[in-house]
Amino acid sequence: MTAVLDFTMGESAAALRGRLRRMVAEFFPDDFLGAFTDDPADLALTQRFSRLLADEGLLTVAWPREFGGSDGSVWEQTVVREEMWAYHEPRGPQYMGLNWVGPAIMAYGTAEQKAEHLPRIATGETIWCQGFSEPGSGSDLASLQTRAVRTGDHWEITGQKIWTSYAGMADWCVLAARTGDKDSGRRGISLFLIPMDRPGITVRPLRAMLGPHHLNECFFDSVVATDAEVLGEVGTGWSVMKTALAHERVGIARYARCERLLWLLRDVLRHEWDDLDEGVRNEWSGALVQVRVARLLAYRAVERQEGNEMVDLEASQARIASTTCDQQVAEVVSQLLGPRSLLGAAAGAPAHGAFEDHWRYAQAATVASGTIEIQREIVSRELLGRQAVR
Amino acid sequence: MTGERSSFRQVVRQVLADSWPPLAEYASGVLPPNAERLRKVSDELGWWELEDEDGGFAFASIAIQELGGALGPGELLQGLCVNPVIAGSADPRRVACSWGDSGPGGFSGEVSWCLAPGDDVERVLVFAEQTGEPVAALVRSQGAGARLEPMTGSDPTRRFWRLVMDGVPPGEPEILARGDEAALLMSEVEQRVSVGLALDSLGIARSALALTVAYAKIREQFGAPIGSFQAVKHRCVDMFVLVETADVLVEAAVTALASGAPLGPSGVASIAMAKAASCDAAAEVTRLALQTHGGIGYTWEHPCHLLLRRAKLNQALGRNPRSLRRAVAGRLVADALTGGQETTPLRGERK
Ligand SMILES: Cc1cc2nc3c(=O)[nH]c(=O)nc-3n(C[C@H](O)[C@H](O)[C@H](O)COP(=O)(O)OP(=O)(O)OC[C@H]3O[C@@H](n4cnc5c(N)ncnc54)[C@H](O)[C@@H]3O)c2cc1C
Repeated sequence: MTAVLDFTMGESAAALRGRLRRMVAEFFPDDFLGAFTDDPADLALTQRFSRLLADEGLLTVAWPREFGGSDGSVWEQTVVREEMWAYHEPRGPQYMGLNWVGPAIMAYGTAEQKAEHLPRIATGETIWCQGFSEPGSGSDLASLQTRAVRTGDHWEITGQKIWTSYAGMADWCVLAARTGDKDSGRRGISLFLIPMDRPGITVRPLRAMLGPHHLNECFFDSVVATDAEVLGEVGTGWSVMKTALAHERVGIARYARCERLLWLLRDVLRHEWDDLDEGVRNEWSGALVQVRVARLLAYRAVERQEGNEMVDLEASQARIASTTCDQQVAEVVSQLLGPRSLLGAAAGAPAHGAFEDHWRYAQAATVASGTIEIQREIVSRELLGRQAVR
Repeated sequence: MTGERSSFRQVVRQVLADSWPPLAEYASGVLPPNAERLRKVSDELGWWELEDEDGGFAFASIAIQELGGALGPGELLQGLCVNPVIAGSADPRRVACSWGDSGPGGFSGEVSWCLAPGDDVERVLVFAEQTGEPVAALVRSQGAGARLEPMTGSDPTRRFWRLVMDGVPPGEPEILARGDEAALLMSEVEQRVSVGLALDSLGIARSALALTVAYAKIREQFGAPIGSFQAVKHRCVDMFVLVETADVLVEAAVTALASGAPLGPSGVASIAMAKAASCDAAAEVTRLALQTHGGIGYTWEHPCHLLLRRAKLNQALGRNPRSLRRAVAGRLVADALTGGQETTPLRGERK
């Protein structure tokens, strides 16, 4: 617990932070805003950087050595996660594999699945995507209708997924499909680990306010899957997904970018800062406090996760805090910078457009990975019991 | 009067239906959409001269609000709202002015967030100081030492320009007004920009509310329309209340401006309230609209994110809500201290 209350997490963490920052600064141009742009060079750069991190044992610090990790602590992993998100996620789409696909395979996978997938996530070679949501099943994920039908000794999967981030660049997909009958609900769902180049899969990119690659539609037309590709037991997909989503919800250290942007904002304002009225400066400090609260709540969830305890509540409450602080920081930036905060990267914007970029992403934070209303539902169940649904 | 206004609103809607892409198809084409046809039709219908008539601004305000809700062109916003007060020697249809900042104070530096009434801008209205007194001047947009550049921001529904001045010769700006007259013109433009932004935002907020309510009724999750969940239901009501709050304040501001008489302190305050309330409301309503739509709202073709982007920029442009509210508070306190003599109730200002 003591380590948790110490924002710096001690000297070795500070050294690690410094090392990561130097690596990012050497590798990326100042105007880097992430891998998901129209310029494929940005993605390529993040792929090379991920390999570099892997070579230095930093990509999967906290994983056991047998799976390609460095046996480091979960707090080192947390530092990596924070520094990476703070600097526009220079691991690109790799965070998906690192944050939850790897841990899910570690927890539920067969020996063969572990041997096949974990080392390649640990070296940053493979890109993963998450095929959960469907056009008719977003918040009500358990109603998903993509069907996996038993045919001879294998499965045939047919259906449609939507909002699938990075599907167009992914090598593999964790695909949720119904193996039970139509009304089997949570009990009839199974997860499959499917290569994206398998016949029958079509990916269609969706143009989005977030820019390219974030949203896609995936069509599955009698896609063949083997028993060896089922993650966990048939019919237990829902509980694997719940754990996976809990990992995903704390896996992105949004508060780290928020903190960096708040300080960047002070730099950008420089002498204007002193002329701001006290009320406005209080908004800035209020946001900084909120950012740090989000950080502590995330630490608490990580700690529980580490102890393999039930983490729904902690993950959701941390998620609520970190996504609302994302939006709060965007608000403070727009109050302090005015219309300058809305200048896109091309227009000589402050901080190369990082503020405008943040504002757009913050809008999606309370929907992606389960909406904030659904997070509240999850918390309310713990607080008030089941009857609180609806 | 009320009847005339509502039939004018119908006309505006009809014109938009004929000459402007509907929200549902808005983002499938180039942004902002080509406004040539809409400009031509509105010109033929005399919208640009609306203010020559009695209470004309009340009519112009209807058009401005409807245009906001349809993500209409910035040209008409400028043309209907600000141009009527930019008289002077130049054709006001070729004059742009800033909706964002008061500029550098002199004839060098930049004037950002200019809206222009068309592509053929010839001059930009600049407020500056010259030999110690305020002046209002027109600077040629491609004249000596000046150029007009397009700005790209988060809002792709309007085209904004930036006037960059480096070395405008001293004799070049064409002075429209000096001293008190210039200061008056400047505050008149500021007030119109405030009301224009408030009206545009009100239209945006109404559209976002309508889209959201319609979607909450048809989108089903957990076997029921999402509008049946209390969280969504209450949110829709919150959005509605924000819109109505903005609406009464905007109406008061329009009434103050439409009277044509110089504005007293209560008129000025009503404009400040309208700008702050309406632009804040639209930013929040559009944010909630996006939240209520879930994934579909982030797709490019869906108008949700465009309404949000425009509302957010409107909120940031002009005077910021905080300073507007401070001004209003200052006036209310002053009124209270003078025993309420100055306090003309806002409703009382309506005709
Ligand atoms: C940027 C981004 C990236 C994403 N990436 C992925 C991905 O990689 N893989 C993937 O599978 N999915 C992904 N998603 C999908 C995401 O998980 C869903 O969008 C989300 O779960 C909401 O589902 P929906 O969009 O269908 O909205 P809906 O479920 O239709 O929700 C609409 C609105 O109704 C509300 N609502 C619904 N039910 C209730 C209730 N019971 N009580 C109160 N309110 C309710 C919601 O909160 C929301 O405000 C992504 C989404 C975004 C925005």
